[in-house]
Amino acid sequence: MRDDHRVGEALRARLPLRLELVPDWEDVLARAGVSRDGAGAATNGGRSRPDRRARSVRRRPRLSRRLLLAATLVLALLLSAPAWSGVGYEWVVHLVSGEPPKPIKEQLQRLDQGGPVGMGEHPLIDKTGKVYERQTSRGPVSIWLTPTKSGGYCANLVTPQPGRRSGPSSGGCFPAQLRRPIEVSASGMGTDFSAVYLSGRVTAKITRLAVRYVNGGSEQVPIQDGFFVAAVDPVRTLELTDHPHELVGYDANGHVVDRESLDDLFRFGSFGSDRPPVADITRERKAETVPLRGGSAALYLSPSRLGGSCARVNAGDTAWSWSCADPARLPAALRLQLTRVPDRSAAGFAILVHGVARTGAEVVFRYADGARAVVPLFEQNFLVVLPHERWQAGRRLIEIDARTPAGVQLRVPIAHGGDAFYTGGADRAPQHAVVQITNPPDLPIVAKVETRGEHGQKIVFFVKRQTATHWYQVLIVDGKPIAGEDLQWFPNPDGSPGNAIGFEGIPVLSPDGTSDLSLLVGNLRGTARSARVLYGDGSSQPLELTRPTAAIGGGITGFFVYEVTQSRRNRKPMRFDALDAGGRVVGRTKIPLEVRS
Amino acid sequence: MAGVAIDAFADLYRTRYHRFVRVAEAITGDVELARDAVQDAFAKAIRGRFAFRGDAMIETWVWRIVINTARSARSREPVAAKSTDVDAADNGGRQSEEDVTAAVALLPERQRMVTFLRYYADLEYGAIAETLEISVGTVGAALNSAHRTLRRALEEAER
Repeated sequence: MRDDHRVGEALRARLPLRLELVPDWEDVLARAGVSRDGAGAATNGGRSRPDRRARSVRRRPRLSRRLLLAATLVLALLLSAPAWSGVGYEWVVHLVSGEPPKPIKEQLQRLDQGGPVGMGEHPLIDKTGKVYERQTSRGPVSIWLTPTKSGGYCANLVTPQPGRRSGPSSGGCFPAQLRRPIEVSASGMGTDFSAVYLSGRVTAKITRLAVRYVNGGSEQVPIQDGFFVAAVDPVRTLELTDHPHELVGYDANGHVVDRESLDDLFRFGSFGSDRPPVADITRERKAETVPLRGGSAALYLSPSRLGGSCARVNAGDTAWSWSCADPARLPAALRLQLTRVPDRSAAGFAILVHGVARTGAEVVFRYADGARAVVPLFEQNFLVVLPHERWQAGRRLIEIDARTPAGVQLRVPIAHGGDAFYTGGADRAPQHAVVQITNPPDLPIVAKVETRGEHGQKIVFFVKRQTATHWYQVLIVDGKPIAGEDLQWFPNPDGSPGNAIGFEGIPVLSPDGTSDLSLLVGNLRGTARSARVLYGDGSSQPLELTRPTAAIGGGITGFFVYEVTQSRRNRKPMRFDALDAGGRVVGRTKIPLEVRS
Repeated sequence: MAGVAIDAFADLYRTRYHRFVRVAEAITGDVELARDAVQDAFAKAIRGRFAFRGDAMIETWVWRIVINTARSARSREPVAAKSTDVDAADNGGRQSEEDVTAAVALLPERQRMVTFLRYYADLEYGAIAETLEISVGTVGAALNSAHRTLRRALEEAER
């Protein structure tokens, strides 16, 4: 299932982002005609109506336009005049050096596209400069800063990407004045172990910065011109692990200037846990049951149609999580998930740790009192409930290892310092389904393109059919998987096949930046039988197509991979046309400016 | 499950208020109406909590109430035309925004609701299906049709 990002951006632009507080819950209760303890009109079964007078009295009054304008002015003054308001901190920018990498320029060019009217950042791209650069254990990191017309700045963080050249990620735009002594954001967050970077800026008073972890450890984070970047070890990036807990800024005398909590960055909101369509639940069976106070939780396994298996963790009548993984192809030796489900214990919840280990690995839980336990695996999946006696300091879970006969493959330090992990109540909602499989081994290839890039790279693009409407498409460059997508096509209500041509851009960055690729990968559908690219000089060129050998994607008639080479870029590729068997144009789609410029 | 504790609504209200307001604003076209509608919807949910059958998640049940309340609010109070102060340099953007707004207004009701829930509430397809009491396939189909219409509007705005 895919969103249309361009449409999404345009839609979100219709409603401006607002800073507003959540109105009092008491107002809602008053409208409902109940008191805080739930007593009132609804206690007799909810059938009686609330007191209409009370309801109208508590209705949220409309603010007049003048009042709104005044409030806006006050807010603007508060944000722009730190001396009056007490917020805002001294901050001086020194641009270190010059020319930003091309991906950063492209990112900045796209920044205001689809943005809310009147709220464009208008970055002055030519004035971009590097303000931070250092080596980390994973490679060089840098921050590029771009002033904006309104006097603010936009930041781009460049971090190492495994097997690829460093790529930028936007750190957002912000006013020149700091609003807090330490401003921080995180990039690279995910549900699996992944490289996470904390980056931001600090007030000039702060000369030393440390990141502190849940279990009490800390690391120094170098500051350059008020900016900082901290690389977080992938095994410390999940909520249940020993993750970064706070940043502490010190002045030149070693006194603490400010502490910034990081806990929210490592806590993922969740809602719903739909069954992944790849799970074959007709063959689902219960693999493990663990006792809870007043009930039990169970691990159910079903074969995944893409290889591996899908795991469902159930407690009561609720499926709290779904995840599918192929243990032979796990990105890390372990995947871990933490679920807190309600039970009838005094705490009101139980802590479930579940996950999957790579083929051939066993999972070992290690505790603070020296105890260790090899966890029973079911097709490499496991489910463990942490007994309440293991919630006490000195007896807690401190590490989860994935181990093979060759030794420990992955050690995951678990959060056991402080009580946050063992307090806070049950999860509010089931977790999002997690599906890791991007290149399923057992599906037939129905379309394949093999070509060479302008710098000699071997490009392989293939399509695997799952059903008539579901398919996977995978792009491999010089033997390295670059993109793998699980796609699905929905027919239109009137049965028509929809757009005749569509594509997505996939940039492939080379390690040294000298042989980048810009690929446009797309397909034709319906009555479209051929396609062409039109250039700015009025010329056109047919696209080479690969026809699928089986019905796929609800009527896809051809796939294409179009490389935007320098010579093609010089001709300014403007759009793709789809043509039917008679040569009539049945669809067209524009090529974005950033691709052709 | 028969009936819901009021605390469950309070949690939902505090954590999801802004999303509810965004969708309600998209439906009503007015942020004040939207805020009112969200508070009214929660009040209705509290009053009707004993009628909650437990065949849907609480959140999707509340979403249904918010949508219905916002629809009623829209039909009750005509929305005044909005005035916008825009720099001359932003005229292109405003034109594009107006085109999209007009295209959204012309979408069939189901497509519009699915679009709002997907892009303003960030709901998954399953949750949208449960909220609108339609199948996941219908959600996808409606969203696909909406994408097509809105893409066309965007492309025309750029010409």
